Amino acid sequence: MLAVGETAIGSWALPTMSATRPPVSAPWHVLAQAVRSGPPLARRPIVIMAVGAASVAFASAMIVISWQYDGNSLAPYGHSAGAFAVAAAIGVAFLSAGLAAWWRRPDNLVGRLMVAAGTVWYASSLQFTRSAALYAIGYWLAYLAPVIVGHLALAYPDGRLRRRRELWGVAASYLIYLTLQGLRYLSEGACHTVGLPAGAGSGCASPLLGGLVSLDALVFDALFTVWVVRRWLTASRPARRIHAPVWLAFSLHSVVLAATVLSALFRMPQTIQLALVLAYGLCLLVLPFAFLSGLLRVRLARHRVTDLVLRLDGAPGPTRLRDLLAEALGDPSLVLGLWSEAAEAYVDASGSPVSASDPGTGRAVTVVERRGRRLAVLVHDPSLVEQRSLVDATVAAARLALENARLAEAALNERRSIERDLHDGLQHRLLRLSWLADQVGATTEEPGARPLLAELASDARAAYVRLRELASGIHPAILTERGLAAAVEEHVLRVGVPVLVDLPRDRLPVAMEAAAYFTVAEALTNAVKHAAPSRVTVRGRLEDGLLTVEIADDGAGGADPDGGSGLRGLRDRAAALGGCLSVRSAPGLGTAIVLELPCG
Amino acid sequence: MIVAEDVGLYRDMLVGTLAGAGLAVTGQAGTADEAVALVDSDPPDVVLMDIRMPPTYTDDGVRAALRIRSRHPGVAVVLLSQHGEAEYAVQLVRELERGVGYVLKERVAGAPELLDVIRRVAGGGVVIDPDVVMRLIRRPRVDDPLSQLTERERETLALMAEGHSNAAIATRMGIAVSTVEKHATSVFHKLATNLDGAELAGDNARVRAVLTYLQHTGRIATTDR
Repeated sequence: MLAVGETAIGSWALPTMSATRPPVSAPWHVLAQAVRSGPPLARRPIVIMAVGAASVAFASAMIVISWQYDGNSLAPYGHSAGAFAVAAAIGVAFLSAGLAAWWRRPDNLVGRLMVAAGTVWYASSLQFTRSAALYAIGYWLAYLAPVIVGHLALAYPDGRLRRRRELWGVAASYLIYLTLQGLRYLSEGACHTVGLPAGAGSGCASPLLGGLVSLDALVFDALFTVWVVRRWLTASRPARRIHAPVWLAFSLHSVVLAATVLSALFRMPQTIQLALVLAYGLCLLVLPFAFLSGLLRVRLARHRVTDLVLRLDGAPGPTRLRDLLAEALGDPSLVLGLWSEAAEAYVDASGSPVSASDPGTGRAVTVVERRGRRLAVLVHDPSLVEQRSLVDATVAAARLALENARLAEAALNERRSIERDLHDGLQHRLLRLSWLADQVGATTEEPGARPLLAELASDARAAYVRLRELASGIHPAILTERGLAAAVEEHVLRVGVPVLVDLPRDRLPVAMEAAAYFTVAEALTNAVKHAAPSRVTVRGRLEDGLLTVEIADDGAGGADPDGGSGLRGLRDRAAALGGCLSVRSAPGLGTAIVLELPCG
Repeated sequence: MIVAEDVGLYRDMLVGTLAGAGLAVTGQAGTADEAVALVDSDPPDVVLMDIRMPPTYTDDGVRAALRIRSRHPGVAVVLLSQHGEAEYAVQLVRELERGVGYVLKERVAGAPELLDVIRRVAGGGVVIDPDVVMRLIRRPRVDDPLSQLTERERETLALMAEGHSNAAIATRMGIAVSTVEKHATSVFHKLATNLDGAELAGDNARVRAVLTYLQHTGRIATTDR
């Protein structure tokens, strides 16, 4: 606990505040794991509640003990109830924010580190227990909490220390503090009477070791702050947006901490020291909530994945998919490369290759695979690496979408291949059959056979024509070859009513061209069959990645938008591509069917 | 002659028909690129080519025809189509202007028809499959200008679109050439503006004008055209 007062000020190493680890084992386990950057733990409510209860019990006990020490004189706090309250609140703040963070982000170590800092914060009060052993522990761990706060600042936001030097730095900060403070206890703590009844007096204070502990704190404080500031400087826009408040709060805290330590080292007027200690206390009070809100902001980002999944449901094209992923990840610079079997490379929506290696571009690369098969690659802002679960969730969603697109395309390819098989195999055999019949008919000596052979030839030709119509109904060749506008224009030549066609001639994703084509064809068939129109207009436009096609007739109208398997089929087809189909039909006013498809 | 067709069965049939008629087949190709290479090495009088061929199985034949003609303007091309898309017919006539044919595969299943098409195209003519023309002529239109035509005039228009000369049309319809000329004049008069000058132009230019007219009347297609 933060303690200010005559007893403490003289021997301040750090401004008089102290920290201890609580008498529970979990945080030690947590600490060890933090340094090791261990694997994330699943949420275990019982563990979290047990640790929380133990920590809170310990904290309460320590607050009571320090309050009662020396007959409620609040001597260690400069006899100030305010200072006592601030000191007591800091640990509570870390504990509550830490437990909340642990609960909401069980896979993230930051919550557990905050719980540890909050608990250890009260360890110094063990010095008031009048037990030599507890006094020793309290003394030893008195200033451990600030060390944990440094660790926290570097481990935020993903709970891991990302660089080797950070790992070494944090390990060194723990080791050096524990060593120095341990030595300090051995040399002076034993004769330091705080909390012990009439000890050997306080004349054996060792300014050297106390100074070294202060120096140690100053050095690591400065080092970690430099690292944090550098993180801020090199962070991308999305990363700054989320983390800047935390980095700012920590940096401010560090400056105040340095000032406080220096004011004590140089024995500045007590009022100044007191003011700085209080400022430092207030910084510490704010810091855990900064960490927590930062973590939850990252978590909020994960909710965007939910939106993403819903929007991916419509099998968007590559450009749209990229936009959706960029939005979900909060990274407008995202590049999406789809694996092309043909090119054996990742290509973007325009077909340009996307490099999946990371040759010092400062961009991070995430590969999307399915059972070892390459699907796509995301080239994104490196800050997203720290939001690994967000990236993982996004990638999982993207994987589903890509798999779906692949299945849809496979189905479409299947249709095209059936059409091609008919073309290559059966149709040509029928043509040859008719040709052979003609040949034989022309050369036969048997006059009676000629009419039969002629009939055979014409039958084979008729079968060929019928087969061609069938194949065309499965997937018209010109749709593949020239796209939607050409295919529809070709189709309307065979429709019994005047059809005015005005469609964009841009090539669109295959599935979309097919959906739009069959919608138009079905709508025309329906119009001719049921509405007896004098004309039909097919108009389409491509705007902002949305293809809108309207098929309007001036016929009888009164079509039931919900009835008829034809319309339902069209609606399902549109929905499968993330589009929608609406029908406007009033008796006597004709029917208009509007198809809207998002396109990549 | 060079024959380009990816389905061996059908290619053999074509080659057999041509050879039977005494035409020299100097090369056979199974892909569009092979056809172009064969023409480059030994330009024939006529290339008979399928539209749908490897590598892409789309309109490879159309594209190969355009390539061949840009390098060898004297080589006539006959494109064999499965579906008879009006789009391709109009494009070919527009871009190649002469010595080009566009016919359905079943049309040339019989030797006489195939040989007739080849003869006309080799002579610099344009041949368009009657099915394609009929589809364009019969297309229902709002305020159809074609409805002003008499049955005979309509027939004349169709035969002109298929690429026949006035003399050939006269023979087919069993009427005098002067009557055909009268019908043609009347057609152009009735259909007016869009066919300006077509009456005086040569047979090939006339096909182009008529086909373009037929394809464009009755549709809006303002986009990108």
